[in-house]
Amino acid sequence: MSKRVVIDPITRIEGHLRVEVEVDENNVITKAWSSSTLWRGIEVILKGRSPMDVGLIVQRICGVCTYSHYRCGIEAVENALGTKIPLNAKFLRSLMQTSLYMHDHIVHFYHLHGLDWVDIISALSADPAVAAQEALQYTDKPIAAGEGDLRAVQERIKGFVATGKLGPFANAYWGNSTYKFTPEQNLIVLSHYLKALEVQRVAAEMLAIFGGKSPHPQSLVVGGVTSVRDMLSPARLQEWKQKHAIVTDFIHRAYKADIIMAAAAFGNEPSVLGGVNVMNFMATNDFVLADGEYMFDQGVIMNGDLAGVTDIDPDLIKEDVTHAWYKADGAQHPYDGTTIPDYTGFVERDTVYGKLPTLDGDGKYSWVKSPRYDGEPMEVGPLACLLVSYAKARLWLTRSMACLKPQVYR
Amino acid sequence: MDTHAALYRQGQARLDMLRQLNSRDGQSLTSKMKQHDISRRDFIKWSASVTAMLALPLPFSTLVAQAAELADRVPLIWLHMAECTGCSESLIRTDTPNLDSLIFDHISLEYHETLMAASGWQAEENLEHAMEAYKGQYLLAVEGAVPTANNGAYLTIGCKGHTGLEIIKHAAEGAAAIISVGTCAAFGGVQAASPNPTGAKGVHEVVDKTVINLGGCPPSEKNIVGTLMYFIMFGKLPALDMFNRPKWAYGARVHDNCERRGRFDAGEFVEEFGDQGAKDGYCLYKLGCKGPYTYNNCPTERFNHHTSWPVLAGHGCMGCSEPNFWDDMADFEKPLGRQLLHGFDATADTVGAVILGATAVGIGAHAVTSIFAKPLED
Ligand code: SF4
Ligand code: SF4
Repeated sequence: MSKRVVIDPITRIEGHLRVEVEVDENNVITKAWSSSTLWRGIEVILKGRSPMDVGLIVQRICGVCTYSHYRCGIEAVENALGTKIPLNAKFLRSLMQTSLYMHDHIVHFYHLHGLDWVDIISALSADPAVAAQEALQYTDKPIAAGEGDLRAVQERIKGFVATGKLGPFANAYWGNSTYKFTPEQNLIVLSHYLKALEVQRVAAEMLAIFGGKSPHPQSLVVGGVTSVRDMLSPARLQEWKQKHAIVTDFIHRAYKADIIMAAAAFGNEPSVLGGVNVMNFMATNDFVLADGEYMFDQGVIMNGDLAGVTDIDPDLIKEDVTHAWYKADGAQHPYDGTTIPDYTGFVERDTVYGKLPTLDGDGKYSWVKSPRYDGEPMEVGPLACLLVSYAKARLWLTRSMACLKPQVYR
Repeated sequence: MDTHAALYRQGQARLDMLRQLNSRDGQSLTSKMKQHDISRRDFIKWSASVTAMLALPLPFSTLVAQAAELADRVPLIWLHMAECTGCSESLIRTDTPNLDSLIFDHISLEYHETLMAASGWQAEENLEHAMEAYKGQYLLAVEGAVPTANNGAYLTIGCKGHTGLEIIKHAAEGAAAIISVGTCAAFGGVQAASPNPTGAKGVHEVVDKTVINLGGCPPSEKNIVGTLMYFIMFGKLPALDMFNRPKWAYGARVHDNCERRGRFDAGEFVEEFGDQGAKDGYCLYKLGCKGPYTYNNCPTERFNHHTSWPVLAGHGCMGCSEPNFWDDMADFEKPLGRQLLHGFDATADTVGAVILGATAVGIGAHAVTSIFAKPLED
């Protein structure tokens, strides 16, 4: 007998997400659905407005990756108009992208995703002296992971837990067997979770130097970047560089070390060994190195065939709404795309929590459209970026992969 | 109007009352500050700057300090509606010393979807428990607009599939005070821009209680924390303007405190992004700066540890703390001209007067004369 489990809200993300799964008698997931339960209608609102305002409006899609949609909105208009922007503006946009990249990865790793694999309560029983030794295995100069640092963190959290009022940590899944770290390892990452709160502020300041503020910077316009005065000021550039050094230091001496530690602890998980589900990857050019030269290459990998990597053909991108709460006759290229809401609601059924409204998996069940490339789902994001550049044999990347490997598998 | 002495006594009584309540967080603020390397001296400086920001006389800084210590007595429920999480992100990027954010984790944060460990059924339990256990005492902060069209079907949250509209109404009932954080929750924000396909509304339009509106997309963390401190200190709302924004934060026009104001007065304008005027820091009015119509403390407080603000970065203000700014202030790169704003002629002196309920602050004649002080085409 299969049973249905409903998880809503999925927390520590931007937006409103609901996941439902069906598990068999061995508690193995046989089917899964994910649904965005919010529609805001930004596409509809954009119609009829000045193209110059598009960037600022689409920026409000997400305040976490606050710069990405802004830049894409602006660059879409530049692309449509055939506008070429000055090389300095490209560099400045890349510096802002770099700032966001550093900020967002740290926040995602520690503050958003972290609590799924760091058991805070387990950290309380760690021996700080042993933990400090452990930290030295992953880097020779750990940050915030000396015996004294770790003891202070442990005492702080102990005091908090003793009150019985756990606030944001209440009613969670502490002690579950999917947490793989030893108490000492949990304590190290917990200490970095707190340290990262400070470091992400510095990363946000990097974005604000050329963006005016973060979140939601306000210095891009169709045709370039407005913060010329900051760009022309050596003091401002130096300020950025200094903050960049602080964040980089944390990435090397904490974040990277924690990833290596996590890879060893979680490397045998079925979700890791089972490989990726969707074997198609897509990435776009990013981080200007010189005119027309980028750190990350654009490209498409289908069916995991790295050797067969091709250039992106934008004509092959379509959005499908078969299972989304919109009306349309078949998949549409974004140029001809429509956004006509067609809400069909939930279906009542038995779940592990009793009768609940649930997703209609055979019909429509989400506010997110399904983007497809040549009819196939694609993975985009960090892994896709790395794979596409790797497939295109970017020298810097093949080199750093080679030096990372022995550490991960030791 | 309260005299300051009466207000001080009221704050004192309120804090005594809070002292009777149990601390929810065990650990004192002092010991937390120690772990964060924040000295007593930093704390006193911080209290003084919050006092000044709240437009209170300096002696109130002892009250601010006490209120910060007692923040752990106040349960906070933070709900997300139709939004982008930018307001939550603003909060975590706080000032130095990191006291603003510390106060925030010092407060008893019962529910906040971006930060909490629990998901799904367990998250819903946390919310229900907090609303029941602290009925009538909790502070409700809302981020995001409430979709109302189609019975609110454009947003559902939780395993039970309740609409955002149902959840807000329910949570508002037991709240001691409601703060709309950001322009979305305050006035509907970007999703309420024409044609507002989801019928998105500000919280105050769907509940029948007073709501404090913190305009801004997002508002700075100082405006969020300052409002919190005021509530903790006095248990009542601060003085509000006609849009229910706290006057201490939204009482002055961006234009009046702008560092480029001298350029405006001299009629020196950037004509095109990237021109010599842009490099020399000329006024951005002609490229659509909405500072003359916008009430906020951006030029004085700036963002991200005072790093910058849009005008410093060479882009005009877009009016993001004003109601309906997505429609009323667009196009963002063009001056408003003589169109209507909040039902008033945008270039008229009356805009400021009506919003603040104070003496007229001149935009109109002034802006027009200074623009034409220089010929339009060079
Ligand atoms: S007010 Fe702005 S920053 Fe805040 S949730 Fe709305 S769109 Fe995001
Ligand atoms: S119009 Fe804008 S840039 Fe010019 S002085 Fe006023 S606020 Fe500053």
